[in-house]
Amino acid sequence: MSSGSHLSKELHDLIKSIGETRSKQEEDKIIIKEVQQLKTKLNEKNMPPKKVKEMLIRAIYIEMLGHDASFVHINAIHLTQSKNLALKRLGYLCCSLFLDNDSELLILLVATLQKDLASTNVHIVVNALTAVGKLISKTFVNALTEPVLKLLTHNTDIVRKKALMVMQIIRQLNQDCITEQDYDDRIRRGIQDKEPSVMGAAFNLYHEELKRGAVNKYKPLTGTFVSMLKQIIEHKLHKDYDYHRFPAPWLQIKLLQILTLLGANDLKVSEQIYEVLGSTLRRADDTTINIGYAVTYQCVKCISGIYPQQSLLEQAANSVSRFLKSDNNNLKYLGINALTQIVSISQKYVLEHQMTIVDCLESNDDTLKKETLELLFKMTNEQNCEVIIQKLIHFLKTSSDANFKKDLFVKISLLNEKHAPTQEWFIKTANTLFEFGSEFIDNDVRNNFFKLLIDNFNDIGTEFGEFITEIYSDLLKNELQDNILKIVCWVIGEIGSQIYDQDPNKLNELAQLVITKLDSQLESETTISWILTCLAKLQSARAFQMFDQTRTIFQKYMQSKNLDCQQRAIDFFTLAKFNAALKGSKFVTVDPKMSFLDAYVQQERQRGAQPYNPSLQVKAAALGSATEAPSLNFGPYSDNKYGGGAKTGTFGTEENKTTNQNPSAPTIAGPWDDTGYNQKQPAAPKPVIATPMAIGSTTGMGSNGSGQTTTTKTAMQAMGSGQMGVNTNQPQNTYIPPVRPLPPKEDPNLKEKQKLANQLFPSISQTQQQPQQLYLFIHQINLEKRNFCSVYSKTYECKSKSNLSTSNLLDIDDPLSAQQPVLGVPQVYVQQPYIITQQPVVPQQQLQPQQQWSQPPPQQTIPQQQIKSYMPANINVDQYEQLWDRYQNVKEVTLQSKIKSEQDFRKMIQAININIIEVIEQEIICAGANAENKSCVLLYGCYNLNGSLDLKINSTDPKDGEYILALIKRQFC
Amino acid sequence: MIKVFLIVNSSGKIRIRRFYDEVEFARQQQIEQKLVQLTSKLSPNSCNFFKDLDGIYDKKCKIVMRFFGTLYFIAVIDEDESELGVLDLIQNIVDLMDKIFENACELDVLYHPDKMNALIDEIIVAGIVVETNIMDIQEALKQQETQIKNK
Repeated sequence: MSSGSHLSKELHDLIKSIGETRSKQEEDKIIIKEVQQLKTKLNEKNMPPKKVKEMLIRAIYIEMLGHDASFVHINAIHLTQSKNLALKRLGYLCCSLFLDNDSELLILLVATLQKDLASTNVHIVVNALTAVGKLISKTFVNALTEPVLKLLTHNTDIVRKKALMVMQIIRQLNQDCITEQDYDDRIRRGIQDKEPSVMGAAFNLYHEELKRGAVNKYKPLTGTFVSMLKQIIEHKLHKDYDYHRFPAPWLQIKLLQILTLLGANDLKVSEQIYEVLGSTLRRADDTTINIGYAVTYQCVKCISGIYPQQSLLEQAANSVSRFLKSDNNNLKYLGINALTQIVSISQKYVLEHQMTIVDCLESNDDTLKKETLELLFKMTNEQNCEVIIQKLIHFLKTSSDANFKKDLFVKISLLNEKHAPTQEWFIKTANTLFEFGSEFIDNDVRNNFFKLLIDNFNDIGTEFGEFITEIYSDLLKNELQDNILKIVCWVIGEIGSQIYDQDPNKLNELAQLVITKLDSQLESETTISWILTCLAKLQSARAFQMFDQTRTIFQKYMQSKNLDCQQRAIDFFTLAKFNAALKGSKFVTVDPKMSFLDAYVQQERQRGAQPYNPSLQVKAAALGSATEAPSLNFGPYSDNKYGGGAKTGTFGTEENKTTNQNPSAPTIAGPWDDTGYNQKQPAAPKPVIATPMAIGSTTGMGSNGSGQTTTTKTAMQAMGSGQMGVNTNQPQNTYIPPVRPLPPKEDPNLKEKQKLANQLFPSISQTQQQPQQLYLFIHQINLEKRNFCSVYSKTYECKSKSNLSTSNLLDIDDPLSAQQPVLGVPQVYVQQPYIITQQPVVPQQQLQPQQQWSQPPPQQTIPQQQIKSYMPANINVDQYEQLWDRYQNVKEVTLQSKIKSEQDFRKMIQAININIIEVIEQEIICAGANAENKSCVLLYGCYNLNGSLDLKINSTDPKDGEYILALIKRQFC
Repeated sequence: MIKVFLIVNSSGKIRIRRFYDEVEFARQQQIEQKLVQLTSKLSPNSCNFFKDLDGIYDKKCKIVMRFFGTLYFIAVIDEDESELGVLDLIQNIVDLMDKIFENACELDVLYHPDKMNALIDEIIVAGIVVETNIMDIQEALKQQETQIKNK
């Protein structure tokens, strides 16, 4: 060991005292003192060189500890001019360590460097070259190019080698310094150099060029590189280049890297490489030293990088699999990495090493585990997924490393989704996964899983539904973590309630199970919300009976301190009331022809009563309700309703005929034909009364849209009248666009009939009302603040009913989650009513600004106010340009402003509250809109560092431009 | 390409710092600090390679680390560089130090930053390994030293 004896006591003491410090503060104190000392000493004149050297070394030491030692920079530059080689070397070293490429001090160095590069002393040249390599920058690249290029023909190999490297840097900095041709010639001469070390340096230059994309240019050189590699592996190089008797390993590695780039995706070039690659791999395989493995690894990388060849791939996979069995983690790591490369070409060669790979997961090395997981993920397919996933789950159970577990969790769930052999297996695996990785279940995971379930459920149907409900209700019997409980609740609520819609026993069982969970220890209140939602979904099933229990539960949670929970409890409680009422009305079927009245009608007609014309009546009913809509009316024939005073009879008249020809009204006729009340009319449809329209159904909605604003009440009226005479198969005609109002007729028969009907079916008119209210209620949950025209038309059907309720419940489901599950079949599950109803008839100013701005340009004029406010406009550059061309109110000014940087500019834009669309260096374009009238403002700005600001403002309304300009002038100039 | 070459002692003090790409001084120190923290993950049997997943230098980069005596040798390399190759390069550098300082130790690195840096400059130029032949490097360094002594 060489001690620091020849060095001064000061340096020794400095190092010692720093070594003994216990805290950063102590260290700082010492350094401050030291810096003071150095500063005064360096300013003394006639310092002996040795002292200066020692002081610079102290400065290096200080800088290395992370402190500022910039005061010595100038001394370092002085030192480079020294004639003493040791001092010069130290000077250059200090410059390389201390100075940045853009330091102003560098200019002082250029002359010295030029002189030194031309020196006859090899060592001076070498040191100068090293410094140039580190410090050269665009500013003085021209001044140094010439001397560096001259050195390429220097007679010392060290100089030639370094000059080559510096040449590469020069070329990178400024292409114009060396022409391409010249550059090519010089590196070609480099690889032909008689000294292998210079040749090796030249390889680097080729490699860099290839990485830059000049592959085609150098393809003709493939043969040269191949023969060089061949010579190296055949020990044709001097023994000096052997490393542990392995011939020039680093050169081999470099050549392999070059060949990989040359042969990529090119069969022709690759064919030239295959042979030498094979033998290189074989020879490298024979060694048992690290560097041999490095070459093997590089060969594998090359084999998987070039055009694939089967036997080589096989050979590669075999060589690499040996790495995995090694005790050395480095080798295992490389082996895994190499296999990952091979897998991306073909899984075939890797699969046989599957179990060896899986065992690498047992390693205690993080890096290794991560890589192994990555590889396993890539190599899993349908055949091996069961084995691999089982293994992975095992690791999930046993691992204690949270990061690794998270990785595992994500990977397993992806693999499970992708490769699970059967649904059953999929569900079971997912459950195990959730069980052991419950802490990683977040909204994304959950929603994704729900989507998969519901997709499958829609594809396969009941069988699958029963199966998963079974599995999940079994789960409920155990202790569950909250995260899993949420999933279970969702499945039972969503799928269970559909599957067992008609099965009271099952429903009770499920509800009972869910209810017991409320009493268990729960981690958070949100879980209760999930349970409540599940119950609400269950109670919407038609055979549900436990309303008393659910009501008690909801009532209990109406006092919950959790707002979400409370809100849900209140909502569901109200729903429960209506749900219960709905049940009572379920299976009533009604003879729509009301044939029991036939005798009476006959009798009346014989007495001279007019026959009933249905189309007129129904239409008038619809119209009357659509235009007036004062109150609910479930008695479709109440004549004063349609009458409006006009009671002139027109049955069977011209007008009647034209109405019947009206294509929009043909199916209204329903059970009656157009000649009036006719009992012989065949095949009358049989609507099930007490089945209100499915809100969520797509059919029947929208087709009636004549742009009318009706409230939900009127929709219900239309519905109410519809259910008396509407043909259920053609629900879209329930509601008739107002072609023209027809004078309705009073029909004494009908009045009578109505009376009778009301007497006969009191229960109908009651029960039908409640379900309507129920759906209205559900609907209003969603629509409360939106004023939508919705026309309900589809007659209530069993299937769509349950879908309906679930869809609506789902809609208000989990307001806390940022993302709603995006579920499979849209019209059944995710649809929110407003999607399928008609165009929302919402006054423009109520719309969210963002919504409106997604489609520029909005053009409305509303009187402007004095103080304007703006809002961002989300448009892209293209739209910006289009808009710019469209408006003619360009204002162009140059201001002297406070804005000197992008940050300032951004502040300004923020202050105006518009948004930046694109920034190109100092030019920025922005867009915004007047918050009042949505007129558009486009702004182009170019700031300068000296504060001059070019602005162009273009706007729909010139006043906006002026206003913004004034604002900028006032606040930023 | 080698982006960073560091020699750090076991208590986290930087002994040699070489950045081969332009990196601001403040960021250099951040990077060093994080790399030093990473040394804690290195155990005798563990893997010497790390992927720079946290973006200490650049997410595409790899970190090779090796421990000798009281010193950690750390290299941040880009994706093209061979990890094992660099690992052996570190071995090479240690061998060279041994030859030049005769039983090298941390103090040699401390007291002779000039020699140490000259040694590294012979091997790595602008981040690229240009010379791996110990004999050649030793010869070149020896010549310089003799010339310095003669003057």
